Amino acid sequence: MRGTEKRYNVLVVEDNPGDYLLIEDFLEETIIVKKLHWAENFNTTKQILSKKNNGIDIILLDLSLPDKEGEPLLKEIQLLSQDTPIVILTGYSDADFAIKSLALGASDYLLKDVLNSTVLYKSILYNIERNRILVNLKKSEQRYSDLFHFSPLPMWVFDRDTLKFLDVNDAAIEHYGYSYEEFLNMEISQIRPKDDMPALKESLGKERKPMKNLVHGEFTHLKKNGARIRVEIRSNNFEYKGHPAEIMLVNDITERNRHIEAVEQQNEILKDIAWTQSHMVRAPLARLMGLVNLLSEGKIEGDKKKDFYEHIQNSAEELDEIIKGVVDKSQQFEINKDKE
Amino acid sequence: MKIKTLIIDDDEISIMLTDICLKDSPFFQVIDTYLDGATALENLKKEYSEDTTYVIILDINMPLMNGWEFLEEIKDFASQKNTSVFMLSSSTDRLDIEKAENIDLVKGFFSKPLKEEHLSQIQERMAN
Repeated sequence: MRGTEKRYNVLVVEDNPGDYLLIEDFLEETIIVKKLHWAENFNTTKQILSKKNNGIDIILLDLSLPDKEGEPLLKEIQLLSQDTPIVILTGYSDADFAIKSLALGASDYLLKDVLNSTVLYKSILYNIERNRILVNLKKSEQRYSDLFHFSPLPMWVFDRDTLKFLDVNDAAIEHYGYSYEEFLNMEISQIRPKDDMPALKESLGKERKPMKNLVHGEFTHLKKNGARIRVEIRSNNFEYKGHPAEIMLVNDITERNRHIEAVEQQNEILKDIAWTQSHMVRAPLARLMGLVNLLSEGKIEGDKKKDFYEHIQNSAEELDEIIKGVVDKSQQFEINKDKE
Repeated sequence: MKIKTLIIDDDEISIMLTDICLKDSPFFQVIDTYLDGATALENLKKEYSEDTTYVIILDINMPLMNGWEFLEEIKDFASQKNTSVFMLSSSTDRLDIEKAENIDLVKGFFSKPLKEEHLSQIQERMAN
């Protein structure tokens, strides 16, 4: 038997000592075992697998144990072993169930009657390696799924034919107030106001290809509590489990819009103040300038001069009043701003 | 040809200043002053003659009828040929200036107070 550099910890779950000894012999020949564990019943198996960092790389499992057997046994072991591959050991009489166990998640099955060290060696290596790849794939899928579910922005996938939600992330559930199950029983039209229906139908009627005709724009959505929100949508088309689907990313811009509106309103008030001041403040000022001009040009003589000085005095006082008024008005504006 | 000047302004002192300034020039012989647009409109409508050249010095911000409303009224009967309006306002607002530029009868926009240099501009633009 060819040796291999890597060695593994193997757990054999087998109630028949004769069968176990046989397997032990074969395993010794394969020289791939680092440490061999033996459990004669489910209870011992449970104890071994329940230990954290038990280091078990593969489980060889006889499906008929004195304290548990068949499908319930397999399921329990799967729960305990998590991602460790399980190879079923079986006799001819139980071969049918062994095949079924593959569908239940077992990695492989071996017929004890034809077992030898070569078969055992191949099965252990193959199943550990294949399982490693499967686990990586599962982790990778989980990562992508997490990207969707833990996105801080609401996201969902819907069926382009039935308009049903196919998947929604936590942020969407949090933001819209519907539970995951409620969402999955709804159509996307149910989060849109009635008057948006024609536009929605038209938009859905258009044929779309992935990464082309991406939709983005501002829409109104309804939360479960009936509140209307303005949202910015981005979406893309793809196939979801064989259906034409669309993934949507939602950004609630209600607050932002409200803020912009408030700023625009304040701008209007400021413009108004500016216009008024341009007319009001400059009136007495222009008068002052005119009066002073004429006086300095020496065009005013005698008693008229006295009138002019009086006009200058009055205009200056008027200007003073107006400027006080401007200050008051801007302070008022500040107060209004605080109320926002 | 007779030249008649109208000063329309709700500010008496402003009228007086404009009046003194205009009278410096021999060009402005006859000057009528009005404290509101409505009275000015009424009189102008009555006496309007194609044989007279009208120079109207018009304030914008006035109660009852402001400068813009006055312009809207007179465009029905006053011809550009013999009527030239010069806005004289305390405003320096860009919007007011732009608005004035879009009205055919208006030949100029001055910020108060009226100065000698404005007088020559008025005469130049009248000559064109």
